[in-house]
Formats: sequence, structure tokens, C-alpha cells
Amino acid sequence: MSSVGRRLLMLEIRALLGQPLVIAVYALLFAAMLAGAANGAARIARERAMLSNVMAEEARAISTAKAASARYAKPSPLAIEYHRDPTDAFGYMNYFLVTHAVKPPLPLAALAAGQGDLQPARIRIDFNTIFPDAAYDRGNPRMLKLGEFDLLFVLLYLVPLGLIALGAIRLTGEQDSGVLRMIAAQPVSLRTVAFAKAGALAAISLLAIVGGMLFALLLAGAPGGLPVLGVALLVAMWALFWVALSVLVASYWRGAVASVATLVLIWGALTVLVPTMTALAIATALPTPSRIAYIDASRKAMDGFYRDEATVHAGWIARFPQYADRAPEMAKSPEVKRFARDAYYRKALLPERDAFAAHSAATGRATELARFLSPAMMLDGAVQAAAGTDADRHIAFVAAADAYGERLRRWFEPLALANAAQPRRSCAACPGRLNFNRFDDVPRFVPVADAGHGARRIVLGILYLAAAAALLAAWAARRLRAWPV
Amino acid sequence: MIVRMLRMELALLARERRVRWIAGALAVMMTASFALGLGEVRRNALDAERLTNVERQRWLSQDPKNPHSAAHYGLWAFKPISPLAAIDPGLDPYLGRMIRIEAHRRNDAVFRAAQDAPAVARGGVGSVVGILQIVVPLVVILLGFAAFAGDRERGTLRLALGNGAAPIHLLAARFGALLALTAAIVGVPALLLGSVANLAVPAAAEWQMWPRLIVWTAAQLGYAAVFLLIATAASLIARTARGALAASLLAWMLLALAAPRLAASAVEAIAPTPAYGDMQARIEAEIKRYNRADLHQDRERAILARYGVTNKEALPIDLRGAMMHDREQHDYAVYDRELGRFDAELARQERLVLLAGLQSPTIAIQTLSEQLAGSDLRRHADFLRTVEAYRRRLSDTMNLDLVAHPAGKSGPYLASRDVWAKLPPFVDSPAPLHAALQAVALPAAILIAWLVALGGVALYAARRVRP
Repeated sequence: MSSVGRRLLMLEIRALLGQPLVIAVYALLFAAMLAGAANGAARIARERAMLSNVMAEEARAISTAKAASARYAKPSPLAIEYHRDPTDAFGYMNYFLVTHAVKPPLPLAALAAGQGDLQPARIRIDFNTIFPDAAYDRGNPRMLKLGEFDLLFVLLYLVPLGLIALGAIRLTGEQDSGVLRMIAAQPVSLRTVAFAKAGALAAISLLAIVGGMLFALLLAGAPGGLPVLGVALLVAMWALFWVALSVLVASYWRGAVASVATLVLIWGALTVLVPTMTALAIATALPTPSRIAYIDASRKAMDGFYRDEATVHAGWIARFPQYADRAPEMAKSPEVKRFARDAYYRKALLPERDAFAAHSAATGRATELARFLSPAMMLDGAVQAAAGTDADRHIAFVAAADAYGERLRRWFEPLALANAAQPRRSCAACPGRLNFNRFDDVPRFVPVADAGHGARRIVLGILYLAAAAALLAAWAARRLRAWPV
Repeated sequence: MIVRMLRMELALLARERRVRWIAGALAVMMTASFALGLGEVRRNALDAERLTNVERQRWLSQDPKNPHSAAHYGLWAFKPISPLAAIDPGLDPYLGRMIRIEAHRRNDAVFRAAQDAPAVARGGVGSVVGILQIVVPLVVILLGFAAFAGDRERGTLRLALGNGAAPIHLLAARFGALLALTAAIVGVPALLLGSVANLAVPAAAEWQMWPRLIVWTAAQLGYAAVFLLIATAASLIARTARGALAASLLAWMLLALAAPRLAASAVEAIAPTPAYGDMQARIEAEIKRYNRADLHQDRERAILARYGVTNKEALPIDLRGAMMHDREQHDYAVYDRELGRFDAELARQERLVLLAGLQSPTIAIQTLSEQLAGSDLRRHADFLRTVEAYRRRLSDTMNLDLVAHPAGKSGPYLASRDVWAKLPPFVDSPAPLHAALQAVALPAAILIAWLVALGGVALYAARRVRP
């Protein structure tokens, strides 16, 4: 950079910092970022409280079962059925076990609510439900529709508008007022002047916006480290993209009003129109399988089961050769009836569940590909991934929860079948069957290790936005060869 | 004079190429999102209607069985879809659409459309109403910000006023022309698309959809007029067109984008959404406590004592049926208490959000629009109440039938079709139009207050306009 350029840059920086509008815009954006981060922190606190309550609920259920066990281990005239007996493995599994699959918030969750407010962070393992993929936490639909005022909202929607307000008129304002003619008479190139103006805006914006975001995250309790650095770089590229775009639009010399209007329309297209059209296109190309048809399939499965119950029971217990000699009696036990029914329903509905899983995967792939159509969508995807509130993480969570449920079944099955094969009571006068007391041994859900989740998307986002900003800057530089006067 | 000026302004607007581009772009966007919305609404409505009939036949065609087994077999209920949901899905994407009705469990409505939609759908305006409430205000601002400021910069405002045109007449003519244009490029397509929805989706008559559609369209135009007034007032007050545009865009950004989200966060801070999981845990714990074996046995003994017998075979009723009926009455009270508290908290949040409409017309129009379209929270709450009332009828009918038929010497009692037929078909009808109109009185008043206030500002600015 020449000495003239450096001097101009410093002049522009001083001039910008002296303008009340500039201070006002950055102050507003900073306040908005603080509010966004505070809301994010409040959301994380609510989630952590919910997860803490879940653990407390599970612990209470275990202590209740232990207390009942102690009561039912003493002789008493009380007669209890298996579904009121926590000392029976099968009874405990279906009527007393309280366990959940949980999705803890990631360290940068304060950044974006993403899909996190819509998708559940906990799934209760319930062997009585035919639709394990229907879980959600009933909140307030109004809040879901309005959306959270989070950091991502500020970065995606408000920061570009602030940069447009400051950047759109840097050159065109001087064109409209006639000052540009006077500057053109000086021994300085248009590119030097434009670079000084854009450079000043970029330098101050990077400090204000990236610095503001980091400060807001710090106040929200987000830890530092590589992920934060990645997000800071991402946001820096986003800010530079809008500065470069402002210079490019100004280079068409259509006046300040037309520049502002054009930039706002581009902003609207990138942040609202393109995501809308993308969602419509994906929904048209990949229609969601019918949930009503899914329910109909479940009812047909139910009817099919009840038409052929005995055969289904016998077929299921036949899988266990060790019980071959006792199979006819065991087929009439509540344990075998229930396990056989659940296995029948799961198998019968597998095609539908696979269709929904395939649809989710295809929609996710199409969405990730479509993000290249708009820098706003790219930023949105990268920040949600960094926050751990993206759709992919939730899909993995649901699959892990389902796998956990199946693992629990496999864990209880041999215990319950052993009792069904040889029903025995260690204490004939006691109400409880006393064949199960391994309450603390029941497998717990281990959350999926999410270290580095979103790293790939952040890096991709940084490269994409940097390339887009560089392209726009090069295009603008090409157009700013000669003065328009 | 005003009429002549109005005609002239309309003619000038009609000649502008940007107006044709804007009208075309809006029509394409609205039609594209409508096509998808209508397809989905129609498919769901027809599927729901078909499966409701199938479920009824399944219920009636059950084999002879214990009535309590029939109560466990249960059936599914589907929320009727308003035809106008094709243009204003309201809160429906965030609410479950179908509920399993069975004994012992008050299930949630499941399968929210928003959970199945692509992730980018939440950032867009994928419905006709989204376009009307977010994009159209931006469009009217871009059409109206230069109404006076542009003339002032060109020097033609001085000419117009110098020729004897009163500022207020000029305001009326220009605002009137822009409003007429907005009605043409927004109101007419909205009415047409709504009409197509009413004709294509079943049960429009039940919803009284035609008057709803007219009132709904008028409300959207009123909302657009709010932003038109903002742009016109800014144009009158600002010294330059650039200033008018900046002020109008700032207003749009604050009112249409930021304020609704800020309101949601503020309401969440003042009246936090109760933790549904905690409520479910309380319900489950209380129901389990009631069903504890020793307490269960005590209640059995009480029934035996009431009939003066010492064993259940001597009872003139079925003991198991009586115990299940008793348990259900207990559980109903638990659900009513806990869910009543939960729903009361949600209702409180709704009221607070509605009050926030005083700071943003977008919040007011969203509530108003949903109520008229039948895709609001009250409609959903009505559906849930109807389902629960039906579930209780199912459960009580089956249990009481079992109670009245103790197992005899010939074996266990098996009910059949005549018992299943005691339960009528499930029907959920929307509340009449006058109930919806009552419900929208407050948001409508807020929107009118915005119109009156901004109209006053524009009039005041017109009286003091300097060329």
C-alpha cells in the first residue's frame, strides 16, 4: 500500500469514528449481540436445568423401586400383579424403569437456537409406544414460530443491514453531493480512495462486530478455544463479504438511494428469498412421507398381530432354542406376549421408519448442497453446526436413542425370559417375586461424543465466504478503474 | 379534485416498470408457496378424513373381547384442517396433528410438520402469509419512500404545491394510489388463492371460510397500509429520499423482524414456558403412587365392604372393571390439574405476546391472521379438549360395561359390536365465525390503533411539509 493510501486509510478511519451514525449503528449492533447472547445463555440454563431434573427423576424412580423392593421382600398377605412389582424384571422394565436419552448443549450453544428449540433434547425410553420417533417437548408454539432473538439472528439479519447503512453511501454519497468530482481532481486513483473507504469500514467493522460477538459470548459463559476462533473467522468473512458487496454496488454509480435499495434487495434475496425458494424446492422434490399413512400402517400391524397372535408368540420364542422344551407354556406368558408383540410391530413398521430416515437424510444432503446458493445460508448452517443445534446432530441423537432402547430390551430380555421359563418365588409369603434387584446396573445412555462437531462446516463456511468476498472485491476493483465523472 | 389527483397518480404508477416487476415477482412467489401449501393441506385433509372413517370401521369391527381390551385398542383422532391453512398455516406446523385415544394414557398430539420440514424452512417465508407479512411491507416501503422526498429533491414538490394543491389532498391522492396498487398486487392474489383453497379443501362451509377469507384479506391490507403510512410519513418528514428510505427500512427491520423475536424473548424471561417434562414426571409419579399395590388392595377391600361381601366372586359387579373405572377418574383429575396449569401458563404467555403487539404491528397481524384462518392455539386447544372428552367417554363406556357384566359360570365376559357402537363417531367441529371474530377484537384494535396513530403522524407531517 502506498503512503498516500495509508494516510487516506487513517483519515477515513478517523472520519468514520467521528460520525454519530457510525457510533449509533455499532452501539445498536453491540446491544443486539449482548441481548442475543443473553437469550442464548438463558436457553442453555433452561436446558441444563431440564437435564438435571431428568437425572433427579431417574434417581427418584430408582429409590422408589428400591423402597418398594424392601417392602415387598417382607412376608405379607398383599398380592401384587407383575405390573405393580418392581422386584420382577419384566414388571420393572415396563412400569417402573425411568430412563432417558439426552442431548446436552454444546459449549457454543449460546450462538444459535437453530433446531434446538423444535427438536427434543431428551427422549424418554418408553417401551409402551409404537412411535419412538414421535417424541418432542411440548413448549409454546408461539415462541417457536416467532423464533429466538439469538446471536445468529443478529449476525445473519441485523449485521448486514448495519453494514449496508454504513457502507452503501461511502462513495455514492459523495457522488450525489458532488464532492466526488473534487476528489477526482486530486492526484489519487479511484481505487486508492475506494480501498481507503472500504478498508476503514472493514477494519472498524471487524473490530466492532467480531469483538462484540466474542465479548457477548464471553459474558454468556461460552468457553474459548479453537471453535470460538473458527466462528470469529467465519463472522469476519461474513462482514467482509458485505463490505465488498457494498463497494461493488457503489461501483455502478447509480446514486446513494439506488445503492441502498439494491443492497437491501440483495440482502432480502440472500437471507429470506433464497432460503424460502430452497425450502420449497426441497419440499417439492423430496415430499415428506405421509404421517397419516404411517399411523394407518401401525394400525394394520396391530390388526395383523391380533389376527395371528398365537403364531406370532410361538414364532418369537422359537428364536431361543434354550427354551424349546418350555416354549408352549412360555408362549402364554405376559413376557413372551409382550416381547413378541413389540418385535412384530417394529418389524412391520420398519419400511415406514426407514422411509422417514431416508427422507431426513436426503433432505439434509439437499439442504447442505443448497447452502452454496446463498452466503447467508452457508453462515446459518455453519453457526448452527458450531452451536450443536443443527438438524444433523439431532438425527444422530434420535438414532442413538433408538439404539439405546433396543440395547435395554436386549438387556432385560434374558432376565425376563428366565423368569417366564421357571417362575419361582424365593419367598413364597412375600408379595414381590424378588427376581430382580439390579436397579443400579441398568445400562445408562451415553451421549454421543460431539467434540469437533461442526468443524468441517465452519472451515467450509470460512473458505466459501472468503472466496465470495474476494470475488466481489476483485469485481469491484475491476470496475473502479476510472472516475465516473 | 382529490379524485382527479388520485386517477393521475394511479396512471403514473401503472406506467412504472418497477411496479410491473414487483407485481410479477410477488405473484410468482405467492403462487409457488401456495401450490406447495395447498397440496400438503389437501393431502392431509383427505387422508385424515379417510382414516377417520377407517378408524371408525376398525373400532366397530373388533372381534368380541373384553371391553377394557377394546379401550386399549382405542383409535386415532385427526385434527381437521382449515382450508385457509393453505395460505396461513399459523401455528399448525408447530403443533401435533393426530392423537392416539386409548385407556389410561392422555397422549400428546404427535407429528409436527415443522420437525419434518427442511432446516432452511424456518429462516424463510414459505407461506403466502409469510410473504404478506414480511416481504410486502418491504415492497410497499420501496414503492412509497420517494412519494414526497423524491419530488422534494427534484424540485417538483414546490411546483405541485405552488399550483394550489393542498398538501393533505396530495397526501390523500398519493397514499390512496399506493394503497389501491397494494390492494391490486397483494389483495387480489390473496383473495384468489384463498378462494382456490376454499374450493379445493373439504369442509370449507363448516369453517365459514368465505367471510373469514374476506376479513382475513382486509386485515392483511390494513397491515400493509401501516408500512405504507410509515414510508409516506418518512417521505414527508425526511429532507432527502435517502433519509426517507433509511428511516422506513429501519422501521421495517425493527417492527417486522426484530420486535417479534425480542417480544418472544422478553415474554420467556417474564413468564417462562413451564417444563413439560417436569409436569409429565409429576403426573406419572402421582398415578403410580395411586396404583401402588397396597393402596390398590385397600380400594378393592373397600368395594367388597360396600357390597357386604368378602370375595370378588360374590360381587354383583366386575371388580376389575370397577377398579379401572375408579383409577381413570383419579387420573382424569390429575391430568386436568397439571395440564390445566400448563395451559394456563401458555395462555398467559399468549396474552403477553399480544400486548407486545403495541410495539409491533407484525405481532398483532400474526395473531389476528391465525385466528381468522383457524390455525391458532385456541383452535388446537379446542381440538385437544374434544379429544380428551371423547377419550373419557370411550374409557368410561367400556369400563362401565365391564362393571355391569361380572364373569359368570360360562366364562369371561366378551363384549361385541353393540357395545362398540355405544361410542359415537369422533367429530371435531371448528368454533363458529363469531367466536373467532370475538377473539380477534384485541389484535384488530391494536392494528387499527397503529393505523390511526401513523395516519395522524402523516397528516401532521403533510400540514407542515416544506417543499
